[in-house]
Amino acid sequence: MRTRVARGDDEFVEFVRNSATRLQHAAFLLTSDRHQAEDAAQTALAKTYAAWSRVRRKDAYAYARQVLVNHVIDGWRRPIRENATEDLPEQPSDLDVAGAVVQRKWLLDALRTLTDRERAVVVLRHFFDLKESDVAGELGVSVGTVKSTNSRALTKLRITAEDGSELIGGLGR
Amino acid sequence: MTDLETLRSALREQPAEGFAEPDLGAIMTKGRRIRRRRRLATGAGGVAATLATVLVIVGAVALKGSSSDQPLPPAASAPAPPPSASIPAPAPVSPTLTEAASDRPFGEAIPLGVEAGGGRELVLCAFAIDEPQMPDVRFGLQVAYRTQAGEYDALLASNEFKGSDRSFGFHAVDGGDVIRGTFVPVFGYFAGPAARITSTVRGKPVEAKAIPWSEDPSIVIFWFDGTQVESAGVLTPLVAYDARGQRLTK
Repeated sequence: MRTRVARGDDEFVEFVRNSATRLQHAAFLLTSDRHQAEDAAQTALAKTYAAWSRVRRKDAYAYARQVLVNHVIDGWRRPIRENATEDLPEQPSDLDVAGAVVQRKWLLDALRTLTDRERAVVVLRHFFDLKESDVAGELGVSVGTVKSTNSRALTKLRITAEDGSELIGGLGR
Repeated sequence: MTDLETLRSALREQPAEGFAEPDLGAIMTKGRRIRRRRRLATGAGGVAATLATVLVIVGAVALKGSSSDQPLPPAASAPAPPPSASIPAPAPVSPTLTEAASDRPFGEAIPLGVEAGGGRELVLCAFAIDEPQMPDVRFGLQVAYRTQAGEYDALLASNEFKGSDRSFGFHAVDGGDVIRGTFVPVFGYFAGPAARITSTVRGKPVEAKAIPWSEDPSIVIFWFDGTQVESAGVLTPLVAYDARGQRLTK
């Protein structure tokens, strides 16, 4: 099976080159699975291409991001999804010279302790840097829900709030 | 640095092992297929079920004839709209269509072991194509409901539209979608002496159920269990083996 690339597709090819890695990375944070992440990004890009004439002059990246997150969330709704665990792994010490590798393992293990919605909020809010109102729009929930979900997720991750104070609420359940 | 900044920094740190390059060809092929289905489901939603398949086929040919720069998918396919649809819509393709495809099977229908409610079962079967613009394409595949009375109602049809429908290799691979409330598994056919069809999904091997076509045993019709393969896009790649276990495809 062959696919030819038409001249009018050049912009999309460029878009894929510029956005694929970031979308794959986001999907990896949402799924903790490299293959799933690559599949999800591939699907999001295909759907973006399907709507390319409509979104190319707007914010194609935002469209792809939204499709990606929705696609992953749809996957979570299937019964094969494993439940989040209550056990938060020990956070590595700041002085740990193993640095990035340990930190990354901790991060992925820690993300697994979050519920699906908490995880989506953390990725949209702190990886994509979206405003709370935009996160709410993408997830179809209220801003208040985003605030409380974000707060609960950070508490679970034992992350202090932006003003440096410890968030309260234990594991938030 | 606050904990939150540390978290953000950790989130943005690239994994040590990079991601696979996106498969641009597969992305664009899938994107075109989605776009085509959307058009059929919305703008041309009134096209009768028996007409939809042929329209898409002719559309693909018309597109091919109009501009060689236009990208084309490897197979033409379309979810068949409900038969109750009655509002006529502008045909997306040539008006020279003279003969509609039939939901009736060409050869024996293969039950997929799925009850679709209302006494219907899901079957996979070939259907005949007689289209002057595609002289070397005489059949396609469709997943259809079969009623207890033996009537067929196509959900998704797919066929080769370039070259020959019997050229060596995989053809008309499609499915992996919920259409009219029913999950249509990934299906296709292989032209050649295939005894096994396999692939991987997220690194895990999967094997299709494969049955020679009743009308021509050199054509092997296959489909994947929906619990193992949710869409054609996750297969990487399809591989065919002959009866001796020899690989037939790269």
